[in-house]
Amino acid sequence: MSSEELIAGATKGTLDFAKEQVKEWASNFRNKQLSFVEHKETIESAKKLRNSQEWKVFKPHIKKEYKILFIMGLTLRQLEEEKKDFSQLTKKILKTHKLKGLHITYLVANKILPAYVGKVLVRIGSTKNIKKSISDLFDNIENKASFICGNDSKSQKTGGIVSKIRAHSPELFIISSVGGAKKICDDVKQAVMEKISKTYTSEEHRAEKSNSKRIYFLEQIEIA
Amino acid sequence: MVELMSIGKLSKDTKILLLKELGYDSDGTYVLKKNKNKHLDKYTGDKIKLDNMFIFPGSTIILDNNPLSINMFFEEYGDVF
Repeated sequence: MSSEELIAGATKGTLDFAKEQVKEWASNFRNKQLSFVEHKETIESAKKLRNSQEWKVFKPHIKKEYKILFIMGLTLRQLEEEKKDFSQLTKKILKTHKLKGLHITYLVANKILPAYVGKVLVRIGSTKNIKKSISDLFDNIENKASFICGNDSKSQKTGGIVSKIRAHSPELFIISSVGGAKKICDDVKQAVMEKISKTYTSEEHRAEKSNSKRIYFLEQIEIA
Repeated sequence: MVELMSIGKLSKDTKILLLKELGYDSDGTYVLKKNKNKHLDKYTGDKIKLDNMFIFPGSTIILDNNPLSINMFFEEYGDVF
């Protein structure tokens, strides 16, 4: 009889029975044969994501320090697709990896990263240095991307993005909505482009059939 | 490989019994260390509730059973299940 099959007996049985059973579990635990978890879904879900094609493709190109954030991006996307609450996870990511870390998870959750890598490959004309390009994006994400929430001020966001672009001249800049902030994201992108259209073009990226998010790539015009 | 046992259906008393057997304790809500201080998740620093524990053998790791902590555990220890 397996340990799990004995649970029902332990909950229904006498205290003595429970004590004996717990001692046996603890003995197996000390022998490194048994571990305990409230419910297995979190672990099974983690294992599934870590076996996903997306993770297998990107893993060699992600620096060690960013691997957990990539996985968290996949997890946030999965929770959102399953219409499960992800607010607690978002809070934990923010607490442990700050706003920069949360923004990196958004790149993965919103399927922005594959499109970004594709654009970078076209610009540099080589598959070399993908890892360097991704690391550069993650290291400098606050200067290369902006995430628009529903309660953001259009003028503040626009000013902030234009300042970043003028200060750092990124080849690519990402503007993406968070949650359902599509309208303000459209407005901010339009206002930004009115100020930088001589040096940048913009392109909307559709990562989902549902069209629930706005993702724009602003691309620096290459001078021949 | 380590067997993973779901303890979601165990009574609160049995979970406390198990924690005590492993050298820990509980105030009925949170996992406590021997000195009665609350035991914190090593990755998030959060308190760990009795009804959301993940306990792994070796040097006895008790974590909050959330995706961030579990995946950080996998990053550190690999797929041990």
